[in-house]
Amino acid sequence: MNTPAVPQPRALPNLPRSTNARATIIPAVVFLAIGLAWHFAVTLLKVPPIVLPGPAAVFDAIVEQRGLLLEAAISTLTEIVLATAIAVVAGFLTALAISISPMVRRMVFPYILMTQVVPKVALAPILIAWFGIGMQSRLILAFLIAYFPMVINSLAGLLGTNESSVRYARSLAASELQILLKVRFPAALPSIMSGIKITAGVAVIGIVVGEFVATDRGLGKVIIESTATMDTALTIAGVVIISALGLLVLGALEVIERHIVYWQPGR
Amino acid sequence: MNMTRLAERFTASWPAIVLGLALLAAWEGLTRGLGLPQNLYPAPSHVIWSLFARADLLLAHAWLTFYQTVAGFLLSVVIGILLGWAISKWRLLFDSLYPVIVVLQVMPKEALAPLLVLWFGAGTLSRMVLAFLIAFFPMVINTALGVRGLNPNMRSYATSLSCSKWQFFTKVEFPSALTSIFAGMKISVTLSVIGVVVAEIVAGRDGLGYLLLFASSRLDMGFSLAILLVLALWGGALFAAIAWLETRLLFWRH
Amino acid sequence: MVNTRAVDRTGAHVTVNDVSKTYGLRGDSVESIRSVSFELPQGEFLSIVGPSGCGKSTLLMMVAGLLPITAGTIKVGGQPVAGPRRENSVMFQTPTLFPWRTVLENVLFPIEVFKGDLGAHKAEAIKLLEMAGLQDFKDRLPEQLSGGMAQRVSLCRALITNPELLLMDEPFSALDALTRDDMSLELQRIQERFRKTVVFITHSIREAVFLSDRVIVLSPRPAVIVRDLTIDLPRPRTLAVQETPEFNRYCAEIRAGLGR
Repeated sequence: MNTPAVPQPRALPNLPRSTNARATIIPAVVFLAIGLAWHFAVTLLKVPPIVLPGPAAVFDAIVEQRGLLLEAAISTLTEIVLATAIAVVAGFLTALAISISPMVRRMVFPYILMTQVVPKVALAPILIAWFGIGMQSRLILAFLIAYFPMVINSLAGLLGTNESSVRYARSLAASELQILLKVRFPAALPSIMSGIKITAGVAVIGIVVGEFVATDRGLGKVIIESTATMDTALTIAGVVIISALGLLVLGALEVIERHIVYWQPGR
Repeated sequence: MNMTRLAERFTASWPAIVLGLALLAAWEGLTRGLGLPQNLYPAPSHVIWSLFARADLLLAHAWLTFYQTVAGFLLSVVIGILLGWAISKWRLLFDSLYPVIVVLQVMPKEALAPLLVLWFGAGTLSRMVLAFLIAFFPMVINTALGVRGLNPNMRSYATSLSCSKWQFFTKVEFPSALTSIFAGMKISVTLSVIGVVVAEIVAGRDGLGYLLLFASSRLDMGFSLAILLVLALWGGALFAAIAWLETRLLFWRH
Repeated sequence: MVNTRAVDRTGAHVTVNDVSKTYGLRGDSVESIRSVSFELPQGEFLSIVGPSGCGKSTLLMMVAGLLPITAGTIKVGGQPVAGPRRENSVMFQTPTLFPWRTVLENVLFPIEVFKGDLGAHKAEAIKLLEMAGLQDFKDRLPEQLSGGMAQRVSLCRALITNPELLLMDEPFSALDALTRDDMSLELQRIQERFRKTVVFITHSIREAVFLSDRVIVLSPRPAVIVRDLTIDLPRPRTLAVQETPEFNRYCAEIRAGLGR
């Protein structure tokens, strides 16, 4: 049992890419082009700023409201990191437990797979009814969304260890604990790191949706409130900043991954 | 033949079934036994009761959610496959669009829900757009991967027969990419449901997402869990439908 | 040795004249083939042998019209090569059968592409499969076949169009030694029966000597011809011929050409 039958909705694209000057220049040019197109479309077509403000207006909004946005961003980021951390640890430990006991696996794994087709965001209103508006509900929501992909990926890694490596270690009379630490765990690291990246990605979604439903803090709150006041520039600013946060978290994880899984080619 | 296969898989999964039944029994026993208020901490039996007691309300909103999901999904499949095929064919398009796609894939598109409701109104359009936006990227990516992943020897062989571009696409490229495309479809269908639900929650007007909001705000948790159950079954059914279609179309994969 | 096979010599079928191939742009170019010339009469089985990376596959692809020629000319049937020709059949190292088609559908694939008469060719396809011993597998899917069987299907597929020129790029390299011997015998049988013009790439010296009427040895990159020998062993050849001194003399000469 290596790759699970249920797919991972938020897995990151792994397309082969050219790693030369072209790879950095062309994207930069493309983004610049998109920004310019946006600007000209809005000014030439005289789109009302309530509908779609130009990039300049969004930039102004960010600068003017930087206090509000910074506070919101910190709140959201803190919750994202917390939820991710808890989900990663709990998910990994669960996967470890499952990998050790085949009976536990047969009992529990089908349910873990099944949760992947359930829209767990729908839990948001339910959790708020039970736990009230506030960080706790959001953390639980994000945790529930992020926990299962972590289990699946970690389990795939732990169970996918090359059996000949394990046999070799056994031939040296290594203890099971040694085999776990020196063979299975390192072999599982690429999948575990993949899992962590996916977990972080969906934790962001959990926190944001949580903030939409229970608007007490965070960038989600900024987005909801600014749409109510028709301050579209601020709304877009909020969306941009959340995206930037998501990219930041993932970028950091990529760097960490390159150091931890240093032996993988093409990373 | 199918019945024995089904029976086999049933008996093989008995530990999971036993666990499930045990948990259900424990849940039922605890909530009833401790005399917990059924509106806040409903027993499974109460959840099922709510399901049937409010069936008409549930169905009216469920129908809306269902067809928005399917519409968003189908749109994402069609456009996703077209775009995925296009970017895998032309190097320049690939180099320019790939980084955009990566950024957009990583971005939490659910965050766009309020903006979409502002632009497209609180009705079905905004929800189908969100479902489309979230579900569309895995289709593009998986199609591109599938097309690009064509065995180079197969490509050389087909070229050596000097077959036309259309023949090449229909007889070689497309069948070869189908495996990846179906993997993408399984992902997309799940994401469509999420998109619709989030948009319904934010729009707060109708659909199962809204109904969930409504029921939870009145602390009718039995009904809320019943709605969640319906959503879970819907997600599962869609996924199963794609998986079934895959076994029919991709008959050569075991 | 008396040559017991009559080879048709009514003019060359394939003419390669001073052909060279360079990859890459001016500053950063790789000269793959420097200057290669030979003529191939109709019905002759030619093997091209050389070290890995010397450009033998490149040469084959140029004859097939799948790669452009940098300099020189290649003519097949008197016409310069301008692209892939339907009168050629190309076989690659891996079977490249389409997994979604049955064995029979795979063999008939070229007929489909050429928009030929599938019904008329079906009997021919089954006959080819019979010759390969695979008639019982005609409705199976490729994944149910072993490597050797799949490569045999690939050979049937190459023959269904009754090609004038058969181009084979190390078709047996991916097979195990025993299957390889079987395939060599089979290919020889087919050649006895159909007498196609064949260009066969291999890095097995013994395979080349066993199968061919003629062997060309290429040097390492940039490739030139270092040996062009006629193999004068009687046909049909059995595996036992590989133990004869004449056979080993040819092998030694080829090995010398490769600098070993």
